[in-house]
This record gives sequence, structure tokens and C-alpha cells, in this order.
Amino acid sequence: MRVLFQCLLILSVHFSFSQNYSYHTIPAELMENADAVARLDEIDIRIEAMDKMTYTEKKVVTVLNKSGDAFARTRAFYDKEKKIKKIEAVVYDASGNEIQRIKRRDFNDIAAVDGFSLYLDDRLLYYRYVPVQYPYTLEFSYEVETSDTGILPPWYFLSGYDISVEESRYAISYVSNGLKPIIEESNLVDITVEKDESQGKISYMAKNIPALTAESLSPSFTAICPKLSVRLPNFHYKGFDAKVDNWNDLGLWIQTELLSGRTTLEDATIQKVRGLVEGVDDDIEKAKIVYQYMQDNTRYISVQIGIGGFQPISAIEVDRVKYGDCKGLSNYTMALLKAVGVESYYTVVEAGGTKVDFKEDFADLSQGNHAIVAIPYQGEYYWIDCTSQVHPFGFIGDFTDDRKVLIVKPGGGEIVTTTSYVNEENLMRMNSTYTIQEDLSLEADVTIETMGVRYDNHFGLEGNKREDVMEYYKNFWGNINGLSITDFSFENNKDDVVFTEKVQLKAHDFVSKNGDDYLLTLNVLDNSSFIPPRYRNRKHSFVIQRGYLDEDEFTIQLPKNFAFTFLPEKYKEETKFGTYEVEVVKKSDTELLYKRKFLIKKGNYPKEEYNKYRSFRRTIAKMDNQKIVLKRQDL
Amino acid sequence: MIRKIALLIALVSVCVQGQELKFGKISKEELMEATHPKDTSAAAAYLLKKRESYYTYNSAVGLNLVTEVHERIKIYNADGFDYATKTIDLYESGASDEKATSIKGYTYTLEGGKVVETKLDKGSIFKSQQSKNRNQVKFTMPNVKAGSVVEYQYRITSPFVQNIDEFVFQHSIPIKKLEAEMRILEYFKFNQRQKGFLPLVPKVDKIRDAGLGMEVTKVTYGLQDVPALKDEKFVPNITNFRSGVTFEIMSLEIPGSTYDVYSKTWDDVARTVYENSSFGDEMKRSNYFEEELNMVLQGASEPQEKAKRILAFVKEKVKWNSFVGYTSDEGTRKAYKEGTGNSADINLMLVSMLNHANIPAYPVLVSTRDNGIPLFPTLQGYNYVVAVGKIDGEYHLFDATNVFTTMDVLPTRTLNWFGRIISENGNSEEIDLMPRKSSMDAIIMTVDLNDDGSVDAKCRQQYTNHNALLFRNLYNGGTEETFLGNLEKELGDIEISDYDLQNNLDLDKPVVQNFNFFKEDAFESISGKLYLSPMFHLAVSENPFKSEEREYPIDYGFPWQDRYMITINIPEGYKVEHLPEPVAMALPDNLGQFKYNISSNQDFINVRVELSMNTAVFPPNYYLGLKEFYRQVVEKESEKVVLSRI
Repeated sequence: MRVLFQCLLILSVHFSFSQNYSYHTIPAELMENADAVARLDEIDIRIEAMDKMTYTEKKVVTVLNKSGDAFARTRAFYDKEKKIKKIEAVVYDASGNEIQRIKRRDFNDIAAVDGFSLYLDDRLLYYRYVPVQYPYTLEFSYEVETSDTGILPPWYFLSGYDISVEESRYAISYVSNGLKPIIEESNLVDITVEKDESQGKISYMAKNIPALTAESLSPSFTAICPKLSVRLPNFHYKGFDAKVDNWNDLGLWIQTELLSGRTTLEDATIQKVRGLVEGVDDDIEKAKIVYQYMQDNTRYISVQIGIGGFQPISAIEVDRVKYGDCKGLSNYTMALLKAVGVESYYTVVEAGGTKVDFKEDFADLSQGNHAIVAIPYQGEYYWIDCTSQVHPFGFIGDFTDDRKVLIVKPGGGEIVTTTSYVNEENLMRMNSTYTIQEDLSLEADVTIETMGVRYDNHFGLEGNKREDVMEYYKNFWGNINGLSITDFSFENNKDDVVFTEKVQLKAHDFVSKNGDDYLLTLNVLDNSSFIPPRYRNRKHSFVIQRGYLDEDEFTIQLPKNFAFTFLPEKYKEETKFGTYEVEVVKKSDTELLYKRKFLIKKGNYPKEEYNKYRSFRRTIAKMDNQKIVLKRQDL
Repeated sequence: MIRKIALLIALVSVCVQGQELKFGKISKEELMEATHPKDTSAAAAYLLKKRESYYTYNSAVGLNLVTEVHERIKIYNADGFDYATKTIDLYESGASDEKATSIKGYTYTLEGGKVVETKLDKGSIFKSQQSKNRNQVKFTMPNVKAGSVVEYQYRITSPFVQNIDEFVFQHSIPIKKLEAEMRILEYFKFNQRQKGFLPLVPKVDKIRDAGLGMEVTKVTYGLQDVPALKDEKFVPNITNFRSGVTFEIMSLEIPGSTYDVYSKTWDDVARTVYENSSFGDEMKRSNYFEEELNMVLQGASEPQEKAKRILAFVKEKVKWNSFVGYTSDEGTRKAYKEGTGNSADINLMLVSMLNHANIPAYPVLVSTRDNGIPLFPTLQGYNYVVAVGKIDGEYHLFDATNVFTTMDVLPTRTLNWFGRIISENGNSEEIDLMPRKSSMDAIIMTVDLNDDGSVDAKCRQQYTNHNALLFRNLYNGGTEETFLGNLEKELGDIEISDYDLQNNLDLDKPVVQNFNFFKEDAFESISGKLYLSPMFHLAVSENPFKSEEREYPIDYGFPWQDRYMITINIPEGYKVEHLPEPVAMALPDNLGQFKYNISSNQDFINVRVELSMNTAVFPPNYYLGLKEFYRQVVEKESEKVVLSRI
């Protein structure tokens, strides 16, 4: 009897040990490169009706150091349709002993802020736990009930870089076949996943996923992370029902439920825009006038209430207050275009510097974060972003370029790719004449022309204050010590989308004296010192999203009393990533012509190529820093 | 006599009327103005910024503080659109809350020579509860275009009669006309304190308030053409320099009631704080820690050693929850038990422990860098507390909110001009919070030049005081891999190996890192000669000061000294053809120094460089000197050593 009792005791000790979250039981491979380890990451979703979904989420995270705190957030969002039924957190020390229990009443109820909206109706419950030691483990669980089934929580088997996962579980159950979800799996080949499907339930489980480390130029985290995207073909959202098999259906739903009837305008406004385009026949010319009118008369203000996250405020209201968010301004512009007889389509896009495509075979509401307008013309589309007061007509820059988007036509939705700006189109042409004075100072006149996304990066200078522009150039040419900007002027050619900067600058002691040698750096104006960081063992492929071209020609005037001893040879390197060419031509004893051409090409490259790319950039950094030796002649 | 007075009044009122900008009365000139006449770069300007605060009394609700605001803003261009949106923050506590009412607004725009007015719609005014104690009212004006004038007014009614928001007289856009009025009951003794660089002369009158039926003091400010406040680098908190006036109620003298002193002089501030039970009383408690502390102090006899152990003990026992305050949140006892607390819980505990160990110790009121400089004696002037202990007749500062602080090495947030030591019975004195001890960054480096232009080097780097504190915070914030990855990037794409860190947790000693590194393309070879920058990546390559002039002090936080000793081994077959000239220079009043020494023999080149700033803060009149000083540093450090073949 006594023996048995001891046995039980050992068993129970063992049992409680595996139940709790001692830091010591984490496998070594999960500690590598990890700031935190998700001991258990679990969601259980129940679709009870087209307009009723409940889910329970539980996250148990062992935080190893301060950077890992971000993975142990205790917060849950809610809104009018979404209620938080339960919420709780428990904190354990390194050995897995409970040290604090956080109840619902301890959570703060606050308004959500996105940093740019005037008003949002989303709220959240949150608690800020203060770690008293590392490592610690935080268990956070909550239950949600909502009538919105239009956006289902996606499942990330890894929640970010620098976190590993011991166990990840996803389960979704549904009460009838009509409510069966469609699940798209991404990047699951990289991990070991057990999938189980039975009547009314689908579940996934993965164990021991090591942490990923962020690498420069890698595809975005969402593109490489193992995840599940989930949608219901029959759903309910903020009071609206929908049946969606494909993008055509979803587009039609947006058209009929959210957009139709919202392009009405006051007669006075219609007359006004018609007046503006009087005598103009061409649709694109009319659209340009309308776009300019919209840019001059409105501004971007975001207000998001209920379905307003998807539905634009009516054109008549935007016309009255002269502001709106991306949806409201797009819809308003479409109304103005309609008034002058130009056809246009509402377009939903995932905007941002990183290109993200809409998934062609997976139509759901969670994709897209921005709205723009497509104008069909002679078999192609012109794209306009109505939230900008300054962009040229038809130019969308690197915010929405070259990606698959949803255009909403009266007959339904379509997936189309927006205008791309790649390689040679992203040109920066720099021409300069610079003179080295006898006192070794530099005086230069520089002309910079930019096109494509280079235009997008430069044309904003025009609106800046004089002192900010001065500061900008001092940073742009931060490599020139003692630089002062004498003058500058700009020309913004919106029709051809070319921005021209003319700058006059000076720098004293530009040529450095080293014994009897005077060193002159040939190219200080457009010098590419960027070298991608080195990785001992690169894990991911790399992406050059757009590519670009630099074309430079500098005429260098030397003072009469100096002579150069030799000139570098012409150099050219062609790689799959691009081409680099540099040449210095002697024009006379005191005049040199420096020519440089540098092309980087858009592309996706396997990780094995990374070191080659790096060495290409190293060569360029080195060649761009070439110097010549000058000798004084009058001594 | 009577005639004379009448004339005077008439004159003044004419003058006032002639200038008064009435709500809704917009002139075409205001709409047509294309740029601000005195500041053409301004994206918008206040044409009028008017605020009146006064008290009302009503037997049902009692005393209220009412603030009426009227603002008229000219929007010159699209960058000024942000000024068409207004946010009003309101406080709520229990059943009492501040309310914003009578919100009224119009936008005026010139269209085809005609003035078009657009009314702010009630439905476009959003009220939201931000958190338990904070509400917000927000609106944006309709029909705003470049050239528009927006105008709005509103009233805030507050039951928190002692809390009078600062009258802000300067913004990031210019103000053409500013009117401010504060009317305070005769029962309230108040302080009014000014800050900023504008000359502010108030007009003070005693008048009878018809609504209250009693005497009030009326303080008015009228300003014309207030310039915009411009942000600059190395200014930790620009609002320190923003002009404004604060009113603080010092005491309430209602006949027959008790007399409460709130604040008046620094001593009064100190006494008020001291008498607050979550301050003074918290320091008197000691029974909760006595037993454990006595264990910790066993065997320690020197005060310095005791203080060190106490600091370590508090840091281990209680972690900072990142809330600031000079009064205890939940009490030191609870903080001790639960292991977390705000700055007061932690540092008041520290004070009482030091006293318990017979080290005379006091709390020091501090205004953190975010909170601005405490220019005048008010309770709001301070928001943080640290501890001071008298050891061998000298004051030393302590702060246990950060794990890596040591005696007199406090977190950057506390390095903000002067603090105030509060001793028993509320006496007080000023203490300089700016560190005197220099923080060192010392590097010893040996470099080998390889044939292909790369270098292999050994580096030993040592940090003291604040540099050590900053380093330890950084290093211990994440994994060593991340730290090294960042270090490699920061040092200009080097490859680090054999990394070793000493004294990471031994706070008495400087923290020391040793590593080897490899760097590609570290020097140049041009027609048989080698050109190298003898400081490699340690050279200052860019002047941090770019503006032509500066209005505000340059604040480094603490004095510092960088000392580099570099040995470069000369590759076989080469000799030194040229070395840069040694140089030494100093800033006026010896506030900064730069020494550059270089020498060589057959086998190696020796470089010794010292760059130091001997003060934490430079007044703005040193700016141009500092900029030129740095230009010369950059120039010197970019000079090259030339090696040629033997």
C-alpha cells in the first residue's frame, strides 16, 4: 500500500510538471534565435450559424528576454458585433509556479487607435503585465462571440520573427455543410503538420517549429510564414448576408450592397464639373480635369464606424464636407467622373511599400486595406489614388503599384494587376559640372531628374520648407564634409511625371592633402555605398521589388596648378542582378568627364545567389569611391 | 475728474473694440492672404487664439472651472490641413467629469470672389471614451481648402477647480493675435508662472464678477505675432522652450474653513509633497523589509558598501512598472510584496532602507525629460522621485527603477537640470541632476592590413558610467545574436568573431567587450600605394550639426570622453610615406577637446585620439563653435595615411 502511494505521488508530480510551463522543459532547438517560445498557441472556432461564430484562443508564451515581451501581449479587440465573453491571464515564473492571476476586471477597456483616424468605433480590453524576472511564462485566454462571419481569424503557425513554437493547434467546427469553411494552406511544407478532418470539424496541429530570423531583402513575413487563410462561402457581415464562391461574386456583393446608390450628387455639383470639362471630348482628358478638381478641393480624413470599414460614405456627403477616407474619396471621384460621362471602377488593394497580391483563387473580405479608382481606356486601365492631393494623374507610385487588386465592375469583381514601375523606368539622371578651386574647395551645379518611383521619392521636396530642403540635401550628401547649399530650384512636370532639381553647392577643403598627394574622390554626388548585410547562413530567398537605373555624367574642372598622375580604367560588370559601368575620360589637362551607369533589375532570387549579389554591391561601393591622386605643379 | 476717467475708459474700449475679432466676422483680407507675412514657410497660422477661464458657482453643482476657447486659423496650404482638426482631452474621475459643450464652428472659403461658409455639423463631432479616466472630443472642419479660414469655439466645464490647464502661448505655427484671460476667486491664493523666451507682461485687475457676486483677480495677456516654435536636434523636449503661463492654486482661504497650503515657494511645494500621505508616510514605514534587509546588510560596515547592497536589493525585489510619479501608487509595502511599483514606490522604499542603514537619505523631486524643465515652483512641475544619500558628507543620487543604474549614474529620463531634496518637516534644497562624471568609451584596437584591401583587427572596448548603463540596457534587451548583428551593421558592415563580454552584471566595474573583426574594403590601393584612414570605422564621418543657426541648448545628457588607441601593423614591403599632422584643439571655456596624435616606426603606426565634451549641456551661443569644431574633427579624421613600397 505504501509503495503504491509513493508511485502515485511520483506520477502525479510528473503529471503536474508536464502540465505546467517550466522554462527548463523547452527543447534546445527552440531556444535558438528566440526571444520567446510559444508553448501552446491554440484556437478553437465554432461556426454555429451564418451569423453566429464563437472562438476561444489560448496562448501560452515563455518570454526569454525583454524583446520577447512583445509576444506576450494580453489584449483582445471588440466592437458592436463582437463580444468578449471571457478573458483571463496567468503568469508563471521560470519553474512554472503561478505568480499572478489577471481577471477580467483587471483589464482596461480602451478605445482602439490606429494613429491616423479621426474616429474608430473599435475598442479593446488590455492588460499591461510588468515582468519582474526573465524568463517568465504568460498564459492568455479569451472567448469571443460575434455575428460577423465575413472575416475569420487567420492562423499563423509562427506569430513573427524570433519566436519559436512548441505546439500550435487550430480547430474549426461547423454545424452544417453549408457552413463548411474553405481553408487555404500556405508554406506548410516547411513544418510538420498533422491535419485531421472529420464530419463537421477540421483541425491542424504542428509541433516544435524553430524561430525564424529576419533577413534583409527577404520576402515579407506573411509571404514566408506557414499559415492558414480561412473563409466561409456563406457569411454574414455587419448586418449584410453574402454568398461568395469567387471574386466575381464578392465584387458583385460589394457593388450591390455597399456601393450602389452612393454616387448621387447635387445638381449644382454636376453642373459645375460638367462646366469644367466643357469642350473636352477625350475621356482621359476629362478624367484629368476631374481628378485635379478633386485634389484641389478635398482632403483625407478617416472615420470608421461599423460597415463603414468597407462601405464608402456617400458622394453627396463628401461633396458637402470636402473630406473623406480612401473609400469615400474614391467613390466621390467616381461620382464626379460619372457626371461627366467617364466610366470608372472602384478598386480594393493591399497598399504599402511591399507588394502584396490579392489571392486569385481565394475570395474573402480580409484582403485589401485601401481603395483606389480604375479608369478603363482603350483596352487598359489608368489608376488614380484619390487620397493624394499632389500625385500626377495616373501615377500611383510605390504605394499601390504592380500588384493584383480587386476591381468592382457592375457585373462583378475581377482581379487585375496595377501599373508597374520597374528597372529603367525608375530613373535618376544626375548631371553636374563641378569645379575644384585653387583653395581645394568644391563648387558644383547639379541637375537631378527623377522618374517612376524615384519621382515618388523626390517630388515631395517641392512642398517642403526652405530650411527642410537645405537639411535634406545636407543629409542626401552627408558624405561631403563642410557642405553648404547655395541655391536650389525645382520643376515638377506632372504630365510626363518627371521631377527636376537644380542645386548649387559648395564644400571647402574638398580635396584632402596627404603628404604630397592630393586625393580627389571622383564621385561624391551619386555614390552607392549600400552593401546588403552578410549572413553566415542565409535562410530565405531575396527579392528586389522594383529595380532602378542611375545615369550620371559629371564634368570635373581641376585647378590649373594641379595635374593628375593616372586615371582609372573603364570598368563594366554585368550580372543577372544588373549592370554597372563607369568611365573617366580625359578632356584636357584640367578637365575630366566621369560617366556612370548603374542598373538594378527587379527579380526574385534563390538564397544561394545572395552572396553573389552582395559581392556585386561591394564592387559598386568600392568603385563609386574611386579616387585619383593630384600633384601640385607650381612647387 | 469724472470726465477724465470716462475718457480713459472710452479710449481703452475703443482700442479693444478696434482689435476685437468677433466669431463669424471674417474679412476678405484674411481669406485672400496667400502666405504669412512674417513667416512665409508657415503652413497655417492662428489668426486668433483666445481663451478665457473663470469660475462659476451654482448651489446644485457647486464650484466649477469654465474655460471658453475661440480659435481662428488660416490654412495656407495642404500641409496645414492638420490644423483643421481639433482634439479636446477631457478628464473623468468617478462621478465627476469635464464636459465640452457649445461647440460651434465654420469654415470660410473664397470661391469665385465670394465668401462661402460651411457649418460644422453636429454629427461630425465625435466623443469617445479613451480609457477609464480619459474622454476625448474630436472634430474636423468641413470644406477645408488651401486658403480657407476655420473658426470654432467651445466651452469646457470642469469640476476639478484646482487643475487649471497651462495657457499655451506658442505652437508649431505662428499666432497673429493671442488673448488669454484667467479670473480667480479672491478665496484662492494662486501662483502664476511664465516660461519660454517671449516677454510676457500680464495686466492684473481686481474686478467684481457679476455671476459669482464677489471679487475676482483678472489676469490678462495680449500678444501679437508670436513666432512658430521650431524643433531642433539634441533638444530632448521642445515644449520646455514653449512660451506659456501656468496658474496653480496654492491655498484656499474660505472664511471659517481650514487653510490648505498647496504651493507657493519651492519650500511650500516640498512641504505639500511631504505632507501627502503617499509620500512622507511611505518613507517612515520600515517594518515590512527590516528582517530581509538586515540579512542583506550583514557584514557591511562602510556606508558606501551598504548603499550598494541596498540599491541591488531594491532592484532585485521590485521592478519598475514604467509608471512615473512622486507619490506612491499602492504603497511601498504592497510594491515590496508584489514585486512591481512606480518610481515613487521604488525610490521612497530606497530612501527608507538607506535611512534604516543609518545613511541619511532623502527623496529628490525630479521632472523627467518628457515632463519638461521645472522652471517655477508648482506641484505639476515634478513627476518623478529619486533618492539621495549623504555618504562621507557628500550627496549621491540613486534610482532603483532600472537594473543597471549605479550610484550617481541614473537613467537618462532623470537627467534634467535640477531636482529638489526634501528633508524632514518639508525643508528643501536644490540639487544638480546633470552628471559631472564623464562617461568613457575607450577602445584599444590592433589592425592588420591584408593584401586584398580587407583588415583583421582585435578590439577591446570599455564603457563607464552612463555609457555603461546605456550599453547594458541595449545588450540585455535581447539575444546576443541580435545584439551582435546590430553591432556589425552599426560598425559599418564588419564581421565579428570571438566575442567576449566582461562585467555585464558586475556594475562596480566598467563593462568591457573584446572581439575580433574582419572588414572588407577597409582601405585603398591606388597605383601601388596604400591609402588608409587610420581610424577606420571609428572616424566621425559626418557632422551631426547641419543647421545654420540654433536657438536652443545642445543637450548630450552627460559629459563624455571617447579615447581610441589604434595600432596598425605595417605590411611587409611597405613604408610610411605620409602621416597626418597631429593636432589638438579645444572649445571655448574648455568645454570640449579634441586631440589627435599619430606616430610610426618601421613596424607599426600608433594613433591616439581623444574627443571629449566636458559638460552635459551647451548653451545655444556655443552652437556655431561646436559646428565648426565638428567640421574640423571630421576633416582631420578623414585624412589618410599613405604607405608606399620600399
